[in-house]
Amino acid sequence: MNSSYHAAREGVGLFDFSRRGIFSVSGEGAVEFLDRLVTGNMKRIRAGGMASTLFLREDGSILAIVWVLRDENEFIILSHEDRKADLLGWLDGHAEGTGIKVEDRGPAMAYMALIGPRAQDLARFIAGDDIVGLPYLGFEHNEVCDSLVCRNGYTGEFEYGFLFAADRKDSFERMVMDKGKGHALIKCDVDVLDILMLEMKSINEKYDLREDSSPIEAGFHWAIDFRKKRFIGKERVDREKEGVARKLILLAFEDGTVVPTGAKAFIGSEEVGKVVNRNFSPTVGKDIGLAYIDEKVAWVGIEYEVETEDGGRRKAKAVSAPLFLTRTVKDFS
Amino acid sequence: MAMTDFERSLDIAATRSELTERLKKVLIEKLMLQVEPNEISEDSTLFGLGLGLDSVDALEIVVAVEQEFGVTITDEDMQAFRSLNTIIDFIIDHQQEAAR
Repeated sequence: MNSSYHAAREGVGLFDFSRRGIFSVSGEGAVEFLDRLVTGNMKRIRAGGMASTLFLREDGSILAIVWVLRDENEFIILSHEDRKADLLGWLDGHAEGTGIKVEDRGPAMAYMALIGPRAQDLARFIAGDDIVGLPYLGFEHNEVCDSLVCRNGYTGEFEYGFLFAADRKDSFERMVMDKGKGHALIKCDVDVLDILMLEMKSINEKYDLREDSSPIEAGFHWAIDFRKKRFIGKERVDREKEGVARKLILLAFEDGTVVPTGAKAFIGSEEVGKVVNRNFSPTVGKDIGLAYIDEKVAWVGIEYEVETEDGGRRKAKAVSAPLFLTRTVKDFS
Repeated sequence: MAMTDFERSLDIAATRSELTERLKKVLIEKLMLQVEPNEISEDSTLFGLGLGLDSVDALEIVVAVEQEFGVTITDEDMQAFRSLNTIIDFIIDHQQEAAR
């Protein structure tokens, strides 16, 4: 895990995301169809562009966090593996009787990604020099490596995703590992993303969302087009925009014993929230975490006491996100 | 009578909230963002996902923050400009230093 972390934060790592959901949505009216289902504005994505957006349930809770790629004749949706069955059911249900075609492309496709400050150097070696011109939130059909190459990511580092036919997975991986020898490339454990995302306060569907979590509580304002007249879940978004009961806050813990998931957070004797995610950040050298905290005291600088596994309490302070400037940002902007 | 921990926390929240509202208003006005203050989250990143700003906007932000909050920002300080919250951290640190 440690080597995976350092590869992604200091060099480049290869990640296998093939278990993620990969769907396509096509047919006449596909733009309007999708636009009604997600919080972002699908009409504003140009062909070759992509966006991170959300599917909400009718009650405004988050069903899935996705990347939507707009190709010439279809949309491609990339989702977390834990949400793919629910999302496919949701898309199928809403497409029924509309003439919109929803396809589960996951079984036929592989999805691998290079992540790290040196990912661009290696992507260039694999997909050709022109890949440097691919903007963040862009994708292209790349002939050099016969893949759809997209540039996105939630880690603050360069991320180049490669989508291609599943039967080429082994040969593609061998090719990338071979070309990556000069770049100290290693194959990374995908679980390290849990730390990389937490450091940036990128919301992780595995831990950070409760069944009823809403986009405003989780700080997803940027993924919402508030001017859109309608999308599923909009009523709660509009209501909570005016004020929420709790907010998801990034915490830095002082040294101490383990804080379990679900641990209660206190100020004095008053219970003010619950921890949903905790991990050790090698870059800051501390345990960090996310907690849903009562809005009136969910502000950076406030200190809490959090329950520990042994029945004690451990101090934690609300801190600003992202936790630090990544090397990709420092070196390339 | 001494403040309780909870009262102290409410105090921090009030200071932070006031600065955040001011910063949001300044950014919306100077960068002509088509959003309302309550449509921006405090941890939204300034660049990339988040507010989606660029390097030209970054210069505007520096000028706006210097004028509104009376702080001086050097090239090295630009590391603080990652999100609204990290800018607020910077402002608070500099206001506290100036008060010493």
